[in-house]
Amino acid sequence: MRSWLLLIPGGFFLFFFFLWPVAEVAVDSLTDGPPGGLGNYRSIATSIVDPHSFLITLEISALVTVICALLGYALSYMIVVAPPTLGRLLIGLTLISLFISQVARTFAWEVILDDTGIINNVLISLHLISSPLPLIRDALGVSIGMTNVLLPTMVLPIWVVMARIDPEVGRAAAGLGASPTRSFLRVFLPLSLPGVIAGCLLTFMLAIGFYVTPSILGGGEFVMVGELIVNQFNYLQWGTGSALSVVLLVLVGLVLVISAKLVGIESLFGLGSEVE
Amino acid sequence: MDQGTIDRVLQRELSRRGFLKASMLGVAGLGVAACGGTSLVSGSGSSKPSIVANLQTGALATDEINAWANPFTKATGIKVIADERELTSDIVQLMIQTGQITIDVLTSIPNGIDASDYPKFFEPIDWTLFNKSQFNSKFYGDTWVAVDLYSTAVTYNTKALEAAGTTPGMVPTSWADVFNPAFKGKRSFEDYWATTCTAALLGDGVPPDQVIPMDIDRAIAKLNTIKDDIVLYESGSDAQNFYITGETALGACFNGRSQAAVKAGAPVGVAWSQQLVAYDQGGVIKGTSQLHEAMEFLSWVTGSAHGGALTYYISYPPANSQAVVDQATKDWDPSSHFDLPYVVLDQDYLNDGFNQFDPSFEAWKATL
Repeated sequence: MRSWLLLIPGGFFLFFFFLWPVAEVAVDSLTDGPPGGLGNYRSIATSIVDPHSFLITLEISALVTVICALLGYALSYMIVVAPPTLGRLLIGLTLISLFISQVARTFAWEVILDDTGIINNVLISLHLISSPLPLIRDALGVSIGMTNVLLPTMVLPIWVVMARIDPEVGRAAAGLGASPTRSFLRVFLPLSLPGVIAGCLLTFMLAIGFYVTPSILGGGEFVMVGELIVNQFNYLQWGTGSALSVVLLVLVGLVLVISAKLVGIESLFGLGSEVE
Repeated sequence: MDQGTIDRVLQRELSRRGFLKASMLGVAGLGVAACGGTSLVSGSGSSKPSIVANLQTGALATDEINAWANPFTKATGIKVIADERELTSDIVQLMIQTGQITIDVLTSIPNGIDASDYPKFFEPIDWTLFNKSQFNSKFYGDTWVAVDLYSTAVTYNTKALEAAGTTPGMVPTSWADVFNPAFKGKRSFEDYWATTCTAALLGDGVPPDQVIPMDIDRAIAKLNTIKDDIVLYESGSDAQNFYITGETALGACFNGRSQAAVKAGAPVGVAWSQQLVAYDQGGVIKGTSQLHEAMEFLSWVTGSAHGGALTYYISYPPANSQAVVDQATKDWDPSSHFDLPYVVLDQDYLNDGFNQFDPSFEAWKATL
């Protein structure tokens, strides 16, 4: 009975700061705008811009998640096998990038990727290309920026799980005759997978809702769902904006549910596969 | 890092002392933040009168602070706290709805608010503080007064034009030239249906007095002829940057931002024919606790004595016909070029046109 009471503060917080606002948004999506409940959803489904925006959002988020998984895995592995001081330095550097303003970093990418930016200037002055490469205001620029910003989100869950893997297990595999490659593929990789899954899920869910980086690096031309929603609210279209938000929320929920079915709910939170 | 190190690290961090220290710091931090937050809400807790004014963004905000806010404070003793973010209509609506008025006066009412909703969002102007006769009737309403005039004009960067392959010495002189493939390089347009589509219509040969009502399909078709070269800017700072770096060779840009680019040393020129003139509306947020002070500030920035001070920094002249302006930069003033054809983008037209034309514009953007 007593332990039950401990849930109350957390429950209140969740209710007032999460459940109630989300419910209000859902109600707004049904009451604001064209009359008759689902009018906003109908206009989203039939609009030229919105379904296309959802599609490119999902595509880019998936792409960014995969790239972050590959890069993040390599980085986490490096942190884990490095000598302790170097390892701590690397983790520190990864964390510091989380503290830097996302807006500042995105503008820095703009300076690098612009037609008149650093990359193009160097390539043109070296005569490797004659006209600038389109690195910005398209999927490429947005993907690069998002990967940079989301990498720490991928690295941390993977590192946490990797750090818990007992090195004795690796030595045991070697002792039983496994080559380093075999030992990695058959022992280390499966043990680190829960961290990878947790990282991928977190990164994907953050990526689909991303606003700042895609809006700056996409110019006006590459519009992801986050920017779409902000534009609706800027023009006081509360109903349409709320409806888009609800669709996004349902999408995220769907991803979570499907992943839970596929890999089991404990793995999602990096709690699975403890080495006894 | 091995398991033992991690355990020791965790032990240390989660010790009771560490937890107590952290929570004390947290509470103290919250307390400081709360104090800082309440002192920003106009009037409360401060002895000197102060108002919060939204003065647009970036370089323009700095100019407005130097031209208006500082002299105003010196003359009246009313402190002006500058809110320098890009204000959008949802922020304004939420302020009114929740009663948390954190901004007292704006020098640029954001797009998206219906003309019929203005009385809900803005206080009626206290005309005893203004000289109505100094304004053309187009430049004020019951709840707003035009703060400055600015225009979107054909702008070009000669270095970027040549780098992209245009014949040296050839520069655009009208919107039609922006759509002419003889001019090479990327074209800049505003991420806003009104200026971009009007420019497209003018470029397609529509006379300035016939662009309204707008033939949106014709505008989109014209824009599609140079689709691959179009780059959109969302703010004045973006446009200014495009012309300083030469990211775009020609296209639309705000006159004050081209002026800033030239000041920064960029090889930028402007063709004033067919400029699109618009005006910023200034207003006082409804429900502000500093009503009189906010009205005084608005009267200062639109008045004949001090309204023109901004032109010493950037050529956005006041709508007040009697205002004293900087004669040295008269050439950058849109009104000096009214002998050439121009279009005035009336605010009611812009507000009404949003629902009518923006969906087509957004649909076109998705194909870029």
